[in-house]
Parts: sequence; C-alpha cells; structure tokens
Amino acid sequence: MMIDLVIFLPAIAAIALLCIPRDAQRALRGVALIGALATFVLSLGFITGGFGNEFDQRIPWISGTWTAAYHVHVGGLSVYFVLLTTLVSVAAIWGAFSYSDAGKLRGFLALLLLFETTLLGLFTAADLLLFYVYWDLMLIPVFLLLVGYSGSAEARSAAWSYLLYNGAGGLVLLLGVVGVVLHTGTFEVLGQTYSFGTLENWLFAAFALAFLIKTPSFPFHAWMPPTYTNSPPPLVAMVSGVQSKAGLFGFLVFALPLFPVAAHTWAPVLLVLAVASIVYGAFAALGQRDMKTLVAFSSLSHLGLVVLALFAFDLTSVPGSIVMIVSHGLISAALFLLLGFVEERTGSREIGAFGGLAAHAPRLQALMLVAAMAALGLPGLSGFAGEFLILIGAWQTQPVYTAISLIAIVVASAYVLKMFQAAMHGPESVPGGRTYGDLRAREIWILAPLIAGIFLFGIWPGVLLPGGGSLTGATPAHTVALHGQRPHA
Amino acid sequence: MIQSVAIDWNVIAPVVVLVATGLLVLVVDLLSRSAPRQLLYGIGIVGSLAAFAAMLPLRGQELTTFGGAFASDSFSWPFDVLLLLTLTISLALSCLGKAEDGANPGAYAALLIFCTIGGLILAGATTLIGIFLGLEELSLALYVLAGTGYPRRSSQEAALKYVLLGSLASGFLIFGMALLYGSAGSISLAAMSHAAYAGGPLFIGGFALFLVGVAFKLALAPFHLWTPDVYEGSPLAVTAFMAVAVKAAMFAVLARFAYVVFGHDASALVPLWILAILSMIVGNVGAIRQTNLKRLLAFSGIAQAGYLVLALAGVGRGGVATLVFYLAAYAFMNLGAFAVIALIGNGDELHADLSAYRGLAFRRPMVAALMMLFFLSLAGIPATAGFIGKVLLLGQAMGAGPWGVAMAVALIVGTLVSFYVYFQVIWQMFAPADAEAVASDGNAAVSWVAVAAGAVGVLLLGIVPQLLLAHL
Amino acid sequence: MLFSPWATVAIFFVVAVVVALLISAVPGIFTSKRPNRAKSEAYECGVPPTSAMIGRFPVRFYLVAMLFVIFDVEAASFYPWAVRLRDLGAFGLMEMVTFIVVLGVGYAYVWKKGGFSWR
Repeated sequence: MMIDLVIFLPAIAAIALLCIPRDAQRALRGVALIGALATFVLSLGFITGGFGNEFDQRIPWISGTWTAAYHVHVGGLSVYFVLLTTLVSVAAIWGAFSYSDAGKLRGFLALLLLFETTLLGLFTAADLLLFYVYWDLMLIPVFLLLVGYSGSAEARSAAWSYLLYNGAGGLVLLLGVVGVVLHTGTFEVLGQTYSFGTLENWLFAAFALAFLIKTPSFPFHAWMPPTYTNSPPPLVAMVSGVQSKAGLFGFLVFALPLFPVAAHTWAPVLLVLAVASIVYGAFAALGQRDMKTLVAFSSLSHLGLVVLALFAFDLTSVPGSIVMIVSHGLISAALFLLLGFVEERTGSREIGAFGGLAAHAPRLQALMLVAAMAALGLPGLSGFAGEFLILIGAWQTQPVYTAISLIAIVVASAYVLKMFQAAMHGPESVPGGRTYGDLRAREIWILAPLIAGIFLFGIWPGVLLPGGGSLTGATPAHTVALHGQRPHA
Repeated sequence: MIQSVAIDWNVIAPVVVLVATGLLVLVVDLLSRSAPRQLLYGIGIVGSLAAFAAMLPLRGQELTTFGGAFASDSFSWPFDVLLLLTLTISLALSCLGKAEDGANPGAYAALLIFCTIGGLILAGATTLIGIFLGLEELSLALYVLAGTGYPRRSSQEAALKYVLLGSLASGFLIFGMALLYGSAGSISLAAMSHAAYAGGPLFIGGFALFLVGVAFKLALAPFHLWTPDVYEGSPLAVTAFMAVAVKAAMFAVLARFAYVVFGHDASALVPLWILAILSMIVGNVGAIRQTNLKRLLAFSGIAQAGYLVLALAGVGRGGVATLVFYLAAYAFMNLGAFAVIALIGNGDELHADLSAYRGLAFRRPMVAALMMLFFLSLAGIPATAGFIGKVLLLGQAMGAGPWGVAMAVALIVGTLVSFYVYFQVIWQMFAPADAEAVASDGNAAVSWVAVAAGAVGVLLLGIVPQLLLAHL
Repeated sequence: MLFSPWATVAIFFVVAVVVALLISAVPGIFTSKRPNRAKSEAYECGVPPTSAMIGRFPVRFYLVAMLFVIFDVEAASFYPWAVRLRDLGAFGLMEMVTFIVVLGVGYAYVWKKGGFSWR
C-alpha cells in the first residue's frame, strides 16, 4: 500500500492539476509542489529503519499460458533509485515554476508529475511485464513535453530522435521479455534462476541493447545531445538525473541476475562500449560551445563508468556503481537546473556569449562551483566517491580498460573548468546588456537538497551501503557481482 | 424422400433477430413519411442488443444446426459478440453523419445490419458453401454502403473500386473452393483435413486461391491496394465498420479453416506467414506519408491485419484467445479513433485531414487526450489494450518455430515504423498551431458516447486484461 | 461399365464445342460473300443506325435488369418447391413465405423509393 501510494501520488496530483482552472497559477503550483514533496516525504519511509528494509506487495494480474502479477518491491537496490527519483523530482517540479508560458504551466507540471510516476513504477517493479510497462510509458510524457512545452522547433524534432531511439530499444526489450516468459511461464522472474540454454545470449543482447540506448552509451547516444540540449531545464534534470538510470537499474536488477553466463560472454563488448563512452563523451564535451550539450556529453562519459563498473564484476566496483549512480543523478540534475537559472538571466548558454556572472551573483557562483567540482571528481564530493570506488574495483579485474578510462578523468577537469570559468569569471558581460540578479530564495531551496546530497555522499559514501559502509558486507549489489561470477566448472 | 433438416432455432436466433430488425427498419422507413434517422438507427441498435441477448444462452455451448453446416460454439461466440459490438457502435456513429447516409437512412441502417448478418454466418460456417454465403452477404452490403456518401465523387469511386476488386476476390475464392471440393469430395471443412493431409496439386491450388480471396478481403499485402481509396471514400461510420467487422469475420473464417483443416500440421500456412510479414511492412511504411487520417487508418488496418495473423502461428488453442483479444482491442481503439474523427469533423469529411489536428491539445485537451489514447493503443504502448494484445501475439508467434520468430521480428520492426506514424498525429496535436485554426470542431453527444466506449474498452483491456482473457 | 460416369460430362463438352464450331463454320463454307456498306452495318430492326454500336446508355437499365434477375431467380426457385410441396409440408410453406416476405419488403421498398419510375 505504502509503495502504491508513493508511485501513484504524483499521478494523483497530476490529475488534480487537470481539475484546476488553467489560470489559477498559485493553486497549480501549490498542488504540484505539495504532490512532489509529499511523495518525497513518504518515500523517506522506506529508510526509516535504515537501508535494507524490504517492502513488498503482490496482486495477481494476468494468468493463462503465462502469468504476470502487479508485484512491487522496494528494498535492496531499488530504494536508492526511488529516493533519487523523489528527490530530483521535487527539485525539477519546483524549478518548473519559472516556466515562462503561463497558459501551459498546468500541462507542464502535470506531465512532469506523470513522468515521476512512470519512473517510480519502473524502479519498484518486481515483475518483468510491469517493468516493461513503465519502461515504455516513460516515453510518452517526455515526448509530449518536448513537442508541446519546449517551445522550439529543435525540441520538436528532438522529440523524434528521443522517441524513435528509445522506442526501438523498448521494442527490442519486448522481444527479450516475451522470449523470457516463453521459457519461464511467468513474468515474476526476480530471485529465480533459470537456464535458458543457447537462448540466453540472445535474450541478454536484447535487454542490453535497450538498456544501453536508454542510458545512453556510445554508439547509441545519438538521441541524447538534441534531447538534453533542447529540453526545458526541469525536464532535462529528470531525464538526465533519473531516467538515464533506468537502463543501469535494468542491468542490476534484471539482466545480470537473469543471465549471468551471457553477461560474461558479452562483457568484453560492453566493456569496450563503456570505455568508448567514457573517452568519447569526455572529448566530445570538451569541444562543445553549448553548456547544456557539454553537460550532456559529460553525462555520457560518467555513465560509461557505471557500465564499466558493472561489467568488471568486482566486489568493490559494483557497489561503487551505486554511489556513482546516485551521485550522478544529483550532480547532473543540479547542473542542468543551474544552467537553466543562468539561461533565465543571460538569455544564452553559449560559452563565450556571456561571462563574469560571479560579480553580481555570488550565490549562483557558489552553488555552480560545488556542482561543477563534484562533476569533475573533487575529493570530498560525491562524484569522487563514486569514481574512486569504481576505478579501484575495476582496476582489479580490468586494468587496461580502467587505465584508458583515467584519461577521461583528466579531460573532465578541463571541460568542467572551461564551462565554469566562461560563465562565472572574466570580464562581466551579458548579451543585450541585460540586468540580472543573484539566485532568489526559491532557487536556492530548490538546489539545497541536491547540494547537500553531493556533500553527504562525498564525505560519507558508506551511508548508501548497508552495514555502515563496510564494503565486505553482503549487499544486494554484491549479490549481483557474485551472481555475475562465471559458474565454476 | 426429402428429409426436412432439423433446425435448432436457438443456434440461429441471433441471425433471425437481426434479419427481423433489418426488415423492420425498412418497413418503418416506408410507413412513416418523415421518420428521423435517429429512430431508424435506434431500432437498429435495439435489434443489435436483442441479438446479443439471444446469444447469451449460447455461451460456452457447442451446438450445430442445418446438419452441422452452421455452428454456434466457443469458437464463433466471441467473434459474434465483436460483430454485434461493432454494429452497435457504428450505428451510434452514424447518427452523427451529416447526411452521409444519403437520402436513404433506412436502407443504410438495414445494410449495416445485413452486413453483420453476413459476418455472423461467416463466424459460424463450417462448410465452404456457408463461408461463401456469409462472405457475399457481407460484401454485397458493404459495396453499397461504401457508395452511400453518394454525391461525393470519392465515395462513388470507393464503391466502384470495392465492387470490382471485391468481385475479383470472390471469384478467386469460389474457384479455390471448387478445387478444394474437388480434392476433398465434400464441402465440409472437417472432411478437408484429410485432403490437406494427403496434399496433392488440387488441394494446394485450391487452398492457394482460397487464401488469395481471403487475403483480399482482409487487405493483406500484396492484395491491399483497394484499401486506402475505399477507406477514404466511404462514409466515416462505414469505414469504421468495414475496418473492424470484416477483419473479425474473415479472421473467424481463417482461424476456423486453419484449426480444422491444418490442425495437425501448420506448415502449409507458410504463404499466410509471408503475407503477414509483407502486410506489416507495407501497411506501416505506407502509412508514413499519409496526411488524411482515414487513409492513415487504412494503412494501419493493413498492418494490424498482418499482426493478427501472428495469433494463428503454431495453430494452438491459445491462438483463438489471442485473436479475439487483439480483435477486441482493435475494435475499441479503431472505432474510438474514428469516433474522434467524427467528433472533430462534426460529420464533415474534410476534417479527416491531419492539419485539422494541429494544436488540438491546447484547444480541446480532453478530445486530444482521448485521441492520443487510441493512437497509443494502436502503437502498442503499455497500459492500453493494444499493448497486451501485442504481448499475446508475440508470445503466440515466438513459440512457433522459425517462421513465428520471423513474424515476431517483423511485428517489432513494423511497430517501430508505426511509432512514427501514430506519434505523428500526437505530435500534430501537441505542436503549437501556426495560425489560429478554424475552430469548427464538433461536439455531438452521440459521438462522445462512442468515444467514451472506445476509451473505456482500451483502458480496461489494457490495465485489467484478465477481464476478457478469463473468458477466452 | 465402359465409361466412367464423368465421361458424359466430357462428351457433353465435346459435342457443345463441335456443334458451336460447325454452326459458325458451315455458312462460311457454303455461302458466297458479296459485302456492301448496308450489309456491314449493325442491324437495328431495319431502322437506319443512328449512332455507334458501342456506346454509353443510362444506368437505369441496370436497375431494371437487376430487379428482373431477382424475381427471375425467385420464380425459378418456385418450381422445385412446388413439385415437392407435399413432402416438405408446413415447414416448406413457412420457408417459402419467409422468402417471399423478405423479397416483398425489398420490393415494396424499391417501389416506394421510386425505383420503378423512369427518371
């Protein structure tokens, strides 16, 4: 019941929004924010007894030649994803208050809330069919937001690349999902082991392709730059902060436990793709002039590290990937929201088109500094914790790939500093001689929880791991790493 | 001596009720000088519901009559229900049409009813003669219906094309039946299975021609060329009816034929699998460039017919459940989409143009949301009936050997292409309008009923599919 | 049995073809051909032709023709029914009454809607 409430509260809030007249702006904002906040507060209930609590609910759904259940589960790995979603959603929905077109604010907020519901549904699904339902449903709010609420022709065409890429991934996943159920007879495959025989390689490939497209990973990332660049900041904060974790969640919870042998067979390919993403993303980011595109490519690079961590099958790197996932969610959401605030003030996000914001907006500069430093992996911030654990772990099993990946860490400093410096320092200049102010209280409050998280997990990453951070404790992530071990002959 | 054939009136009660309704509509039209169209359609709807009531006691029974030539069994029952549902919704939709029923609303309503009777006969026919009888009843009525938008040239064109190509198809079909009869020495499908087992050129030739005839009616590629023009030209309610009812009836025939004749070995159905794959490609690719929603839905119908064939893959009992489920889903989403077109156009055909939908989401959010629901379902997005249908189809096909897998892959590829098609409509609705569109959108209560029925059906089947699956 | 029962069908076909060929071939052999303009024209009951033989004519003819065919078929089905009326009994009577009623409603409909008026 608790889980259902968390999943569907945003959707209920969205429906409530649609019952409020379009021009009742205050009411719209209030309902949306209360909906998101209440969801976040409720989701905190999952960790009242610390990480490791299990919440479970199951209702039979479809029976016949195969069965499916409405089976939701929070615990183990999913709790991190759920909390990340509810937290980032609060920031995104609050950030959406500065959306410019008052006539469309209602639809904008409602779709963001619906998007949150699909994400929460995905991360709580313990049934493969249910997982797939949300996997595909997720496309709809993002597509609609890009088409109807982004206000630019580029965004409207970006909607197509978003839809067709992710739709293709989803359909391939559907083939895989049905392939699984033909073998198991049930969609409730979690916690079971099956032997799929020769089919396993094909099924894993179908799952992996879908997950790599969604993450995205090189070479399936073509939809990402246009989508990230042209989305309104609240949307891109959610897509980059949360939706990009859907594929990684799929790997951790479904693909790796279900197909341990195939995962090893395919690991070399995935490792190459991961390293390619890491390096290519970093260098591509270095070459960008649009700050949003720059952060988009840095996302590609950082999430490549997570894939590297997963397929290094190491007892340190896999839990490290969890830290990295949460940390990247916070950092990229914060960065994209901050870029949104910058764009509101300067009307531009082009490197070199403006500069010296620090002079009049010290608070903006301070928050940007934290987010940027976290992105480049400054020790003490969460980005470092994730990268460090991953690199240490992956080094044990994949020293070559890890060594190549280190290049990207260096390049990251270059592109992050380039962006930060261009925006904040240098002679003060703003296009058209606009006047602008520092961050308002609302904007600071939006970012505060994200920044706090970045500090918290940077200083104490162990809080994310049960047993107070003992890396040898048996965590669900470890189970994945162990599951992933090739069975001894 | 002639032996009178014993007739079980219960079995043909739904047909009898419909015949009586059709005649009654004609008589009422004759007797009252100015009977409102709504009255005639109302009689039709009541008759359709009465026929449904007559079907209720038949549920779960395995009955035959006319010496085994006509059956009412667990096989035909769900198809019959679908046909009656389609008839009811089409009649409701017709109440809206702006004189699209020409000067003869009575004839129009009666023809829709006779058409449905043909469908019921097809679903229950267990002999070649029964199949042909039902098919002609269905087709002849449809030829006329296609032309009831009479003053419009496109409607005349539709009727002419349909009647010419339809007769050709009937020719193929009956020639095929003659050869099948020659090879089996009987008109009964049950006897055909021995001939199928033996094979032989006569049987193979007969089956090939039979398949061509059926593929014509189903608009399977490459026998689909008539579809877009006929769908576009026919009055809206007729198009809606045509898309759903003909598919339901013809798939009932095809499925019964496949199970009874090829129950032992489906390998002879390979040509059908090839037609399905072609249809999925041709239908979805062809739909890309369409700017008229009726044409778009015609191409979509070609593709959906291809999807439906997957249900027959492997020839297992689960196939009929899958077939019926997807047909029901298709009925709801397709009729719903047509109802929205009727609603927006207020019966005016010009509004089937895609450009009329630009910016609709901000002008009429509710209508746009429902239209989106129907198109999402056509695209097979989760939480809609179309999604569960596709999962069932894939499950049916992927367990059925290499051809099944090939069809499953074709379905996936076709669906991806169809994303572009269906989301194009959604895209138009949400993209801001260039100039303020002429806001002549209709808002008639009747089509709201049809739209609501479609929406409820799509959502219920999509979220709690067990409601229907438990009964199949 | 010298011939299979199907042989009669074959013989029928052969005879039909031979007779048709003979009928069209024999005059060609025995007649003398002296064509002139009047002979080559289409024959229209002795009246000088007013237009080309192949042309368009009103669709109304089709309507009449179709209605004729319907009642022609109806009449045709009366004969076997009448012969066997006693064997078929009340059921047969009901059957034919139903048939006539269905046709009758259609007939009345066409009549009332002006299907027979030459517009």
